[in-house]
Amino acid sequence: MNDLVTRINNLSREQSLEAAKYLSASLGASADKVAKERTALQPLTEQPYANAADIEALARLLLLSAAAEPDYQVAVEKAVDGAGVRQFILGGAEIVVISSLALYALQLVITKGKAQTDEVVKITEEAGKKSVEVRKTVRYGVGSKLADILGGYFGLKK
Amino acid sequence: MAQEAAFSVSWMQDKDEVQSALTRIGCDLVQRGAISPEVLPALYDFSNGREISSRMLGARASQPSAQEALLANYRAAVSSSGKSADVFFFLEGESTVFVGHISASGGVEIIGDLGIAPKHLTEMRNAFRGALRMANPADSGDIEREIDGWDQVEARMSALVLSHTAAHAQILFLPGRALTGLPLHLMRSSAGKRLIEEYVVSYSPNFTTAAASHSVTGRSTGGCAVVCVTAQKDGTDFQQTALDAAARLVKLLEQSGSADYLKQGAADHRAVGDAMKRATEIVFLCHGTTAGFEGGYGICLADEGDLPPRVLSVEEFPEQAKFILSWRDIEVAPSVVASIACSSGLTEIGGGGVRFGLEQSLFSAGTHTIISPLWDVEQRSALSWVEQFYENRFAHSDWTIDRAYQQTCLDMRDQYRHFFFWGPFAMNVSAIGGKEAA
Repeated sequence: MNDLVTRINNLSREQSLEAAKYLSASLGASADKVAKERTALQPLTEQPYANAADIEALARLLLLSAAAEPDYQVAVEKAVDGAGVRQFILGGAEIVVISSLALYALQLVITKGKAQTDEVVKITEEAGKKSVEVRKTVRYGVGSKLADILGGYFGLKK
Repeated sequence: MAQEAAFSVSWMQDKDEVQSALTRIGCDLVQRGAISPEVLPALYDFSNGREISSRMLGARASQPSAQEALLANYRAAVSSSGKSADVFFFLEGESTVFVGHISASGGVEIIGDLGIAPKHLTEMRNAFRGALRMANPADSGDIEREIDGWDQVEARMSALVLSHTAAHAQILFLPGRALTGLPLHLMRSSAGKRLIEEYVVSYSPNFTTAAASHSVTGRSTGGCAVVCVTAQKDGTDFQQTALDAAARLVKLLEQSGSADYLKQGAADHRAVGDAMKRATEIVFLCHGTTAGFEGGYGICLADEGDLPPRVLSVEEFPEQAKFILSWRDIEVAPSVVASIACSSGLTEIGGGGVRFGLEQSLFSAGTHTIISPLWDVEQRSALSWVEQFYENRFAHSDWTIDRAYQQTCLDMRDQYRHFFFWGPFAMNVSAIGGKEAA
């Protein structure tokens, strides 16, 4: 698993977005299922280029959270293997699509079908910096815009 | 002015309805024997790529004589080429898609329909394209099986096409709207064979394009050009791989004359525009991207020495269009254009059947063959595909470009099991009787 985490950490921004796309698809996310996620992410996706760091953080959070679950590790490995080998430069529209799919997939990974999420996902703040903690095994620093979106999406108590 | 603008919006909406109703009525009358099937090509062009026809023919495009001459021009083009082609074109009514056919001997008929409404076929097409976009090159899976209903449509279409195709004939698809962008050359027969494995298959946007005589614009003076632009996102390993492949291609092309080589920071809009004016053939080893609203898919170039950035968001930053060669930028083009840029062979369909993509301006600027991918390709297999294509052309000087295209698909199929890698390139043609460039 450590090796997989290292590989995820070594991905470039575009590779992490692409890997998140492949992982989301393999977990069953598709454009017709993500209306709620699309709405939730609007503060970021209105300007995808300007908010690329937050969208990248969402992609990495998905990859790291899934890598921490034995059930998903093979899927994460394949997603990382496939990232960055297409002859394509991502545009704003693609980033918007990927972010919605990644949030949908993150919800699948985090909740595993259960409604209660308070115990498995938390947003913490230390010295003015926010982090998302998943199952006490994954901790990833995020911007306050993304933290607010995730808090609202997962219904976390403030 | 405001009133005119409001009128034009409603007119565009009505136009789609009129086109659909006219197609349905026309096909119905042909099937009843009330009118000649020879009107079908004009009916097709009425709904597909009229902007391309206008660019090619100017004011003549809308004259009845031009509509009437479509079939005669097409027959003359085939006759002068000495090729034997079976043409399949798709006419969209309200509740089904009719399949038209022009046989190698020139006879026109409706041979059946796909049994699916254009609206649903469009949804299926979008799902197919979405599945290709989401496919992981490291784990491609069974993409076609993911598309609900595709098996049935494919079986029906394949049965119609194969039962009306002469042995050793070439197949030309005019895909209409709903089927545009789908890899019809990879259609499977009931025996599991893909069409391209047994036939030379090409595409054309409409009959005006297929039958063009290429007196369209100023022609280029000769020679070839290779454009190689990697991106800031590429690692040094792939950058070197791409540059090595480009250098080999230049060496190969120099065997038949001069070859311009534009690489990396030197390949900006101006340099590429000049090369397109000079060359009879150009190869783009570049990335692809989307070129913003109604820009379709474009090819990434350098600007002022800078490689294309890691992310291109033209909607957000319109100035980033300087890194993209889109249909809006092309005035004069070589006879043959080959590109590995992702999805650069895709065309988006707008209201009234307007086709947004590189084909629109390439065909009207003098190109007769475009070889480019219908989806976002894997880099190394795409580079290999293009290299193999040119090796085949130069190793077999008696082959037509179509034959070399088909053989390249077969060669690559032997190297890569999944069609995702060997089958992305489509051959889109104008002037079916056009002369070979090499």
